[in-house]
Amino acid sequence: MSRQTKAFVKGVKVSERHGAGEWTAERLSSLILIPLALWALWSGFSIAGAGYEGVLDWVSNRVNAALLAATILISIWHMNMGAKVIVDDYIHTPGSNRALSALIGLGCLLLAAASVFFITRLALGSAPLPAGLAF
Amino acid sequence: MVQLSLPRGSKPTKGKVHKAPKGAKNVKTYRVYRYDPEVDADPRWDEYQVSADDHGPMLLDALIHIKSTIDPTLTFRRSCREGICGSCSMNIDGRNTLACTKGWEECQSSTIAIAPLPHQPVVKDLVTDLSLFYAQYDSIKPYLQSDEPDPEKERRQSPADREKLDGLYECILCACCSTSCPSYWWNQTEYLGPAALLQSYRWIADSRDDKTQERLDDLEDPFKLYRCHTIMNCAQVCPKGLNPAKAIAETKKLMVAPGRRKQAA
Repeated sequence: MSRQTKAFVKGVKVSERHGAGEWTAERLSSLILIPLALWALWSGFSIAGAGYEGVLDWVSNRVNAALLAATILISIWHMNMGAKVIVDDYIHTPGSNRALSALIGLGCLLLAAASVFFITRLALGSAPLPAGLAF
Repeated sequence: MVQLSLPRGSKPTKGKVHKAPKGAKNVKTYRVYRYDPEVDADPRWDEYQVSADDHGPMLLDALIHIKSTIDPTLTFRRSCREGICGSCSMNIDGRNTLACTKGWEECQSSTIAIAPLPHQPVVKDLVTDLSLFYAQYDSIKPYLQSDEPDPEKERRQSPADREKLDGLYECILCACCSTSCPSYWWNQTEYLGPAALLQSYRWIADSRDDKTQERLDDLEDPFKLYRCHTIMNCAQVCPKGLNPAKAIAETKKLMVAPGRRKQAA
């Protein structure tokens, strides 16, 4: 909602009646990321030195692939919410605020889609890129 | 876009130096922000060299001494001189506090800088315009709202419920907390700030008040409440030793508590 469309009474903003949901989502995603980040760290160390084939083998395990996708998607979700807070803090021009938020949202969406695409392909034992697109 | 540098024409320049008389002992230097928007193009830092032997132990004593004996044009607010009215809040030695309860001996620097509360429009010298701050306080309905009819005598409260108001009711609305909060600096037109939010929680926590859910509804907003990023400057500077950040955290917890009954706008 832009500054112009927000309602004010005697110079004080009228409540938009939301915010608790976003606040809960920020904390919930942080909590879920604690075990996932620990798992990702542990996995990173355990496959270090396993080589290309070893890593492919690791991703082809469905549990590993699912947890990897969850870690990346929840991280991106959390990052998007955090970036939105920073933009709202500092960018007060309604147009710039909306444009930057949309740009960050789009970037996060592309990152999430690419992550899921590649993880799925590797988990199914395919090459990262479909035939013809590979370098 | 947030403003990271001072607007053109508002950077303080070097002002007058009022030297101490020859032979003066125990001389302290006070660097005071001076600005009259109706007359001055730019603010300036005036320096007053004063013998600490000539005035009392507090910064307010020094300011009153400067105004009475050196420069009657120096403007500042003061009233109770004992930390209960909140009038003499200002930025002393880099930290918001009350001039009447801050001793000059407590200041770290040999030259003590005294400036108005940060990020507020300056009316003159150390006096800031707190109209928005008071409007924000007014907006949280700082009075008891009960569904019960007025009792013949007082509204009773158990000692345990009364204890819940400790650390909340003592706020004197000096604005030291709100004007020390970076989130309030950047977003004060929408963020209520620590003082108003602490005052709001004072009524939310009051067992005699029946409008808890309505009060929470009025606060549930990405800016009014949730611009608090727990920076904690509010708790650091409060001259009454209160913790507005804790009151804000309690309010956020109540927003998602099981008993919450949110009403449509």
